[in-house]
Amino acid sequence: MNSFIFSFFILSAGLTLFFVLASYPIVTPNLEWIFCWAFCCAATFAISGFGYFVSIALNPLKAQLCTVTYVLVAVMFSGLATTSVLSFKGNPFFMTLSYLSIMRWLSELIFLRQVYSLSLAWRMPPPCYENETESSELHWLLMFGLTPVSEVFYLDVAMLLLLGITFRIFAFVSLVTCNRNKRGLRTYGQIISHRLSCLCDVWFRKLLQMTVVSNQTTEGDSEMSPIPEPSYL
Amino acid sequence: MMRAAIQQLRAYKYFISDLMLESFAGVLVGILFPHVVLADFNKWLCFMAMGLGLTISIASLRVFGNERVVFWREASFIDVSAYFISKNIVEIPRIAGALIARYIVLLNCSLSRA
Repeated sequence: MNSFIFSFFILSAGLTLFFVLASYPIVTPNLEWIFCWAFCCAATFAISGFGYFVSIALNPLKAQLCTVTYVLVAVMFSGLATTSVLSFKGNPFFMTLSYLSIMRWLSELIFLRQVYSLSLAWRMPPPCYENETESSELHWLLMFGLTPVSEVFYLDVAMLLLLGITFRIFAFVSLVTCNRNKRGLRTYGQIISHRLSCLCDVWFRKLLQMTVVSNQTTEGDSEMSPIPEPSYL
Repeated sequence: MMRAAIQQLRAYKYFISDLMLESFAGVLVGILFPHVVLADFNKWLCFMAMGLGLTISIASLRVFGNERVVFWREASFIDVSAYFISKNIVEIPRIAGALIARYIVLLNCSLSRA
């Protein structure tokens, strides 16, 4: 079994290597691509968790629609469009959407890494430049409301991993709880209604028994038979 | 996990198609923003995030979505948590591989000022 799993990983790596060798000659990398790839792996972990969740909970067509909608909403509230940053600042609903947006954390990671990879000449205050939108990283940092601190890298990656784990927990709960009727099990609605009806039955029987006992004590009639216990108790 | 790995091996055509899809998305973003400058960096990030999100999420729908009926039939005699965890573990190299392919191509739009 271990050898089989090992060969599986080798095969995956082989396919990847084949593709990389085919596409590498057209590349001229001068960005720290390993950081970009690592950050996107964290984002992918979160996004795939959401995909698992909706694919389990919904039927395929609805799952696709839901996924596309989520990605679009996540991009809208990622804070990259500067007008939307200004408009939803202070609104708790939009702020929550922004915090749940995977793209918000991914874009912050990549943008800050880009800032860190440039020299100090690009990080001067905006008035130092003739055209601040083309030259000042600080101008864009202030515009997007990002925090230029090294700890943000760890925090953002942790947020992405946390989102991914949360979506996976939702997916597992959906796997256990959704579509129970199709697995030959009773749905939770049926279970709850059954429990409620049993509870009402027991309560009604006790009420009836109390009425009978009170009647017996008032009338002195001892020949009445007790109410039988239900079979499910 | 063994079963999930065998399934993944047999569906290698899907893996190759995922690689091609990711590469196509990477090339597309690269063509849109060749040698991206600071003024266009947020647009590049926006397109890149959208491309990444759409391709990966659609690809990940297949993991559990294709097996819904089989799972419903077999859920009574398999360990659901073991099934879920093994599917998650086996998917990790596929996602990582697809991302490597994407970023090797995407870096063609390298930042000219870095």
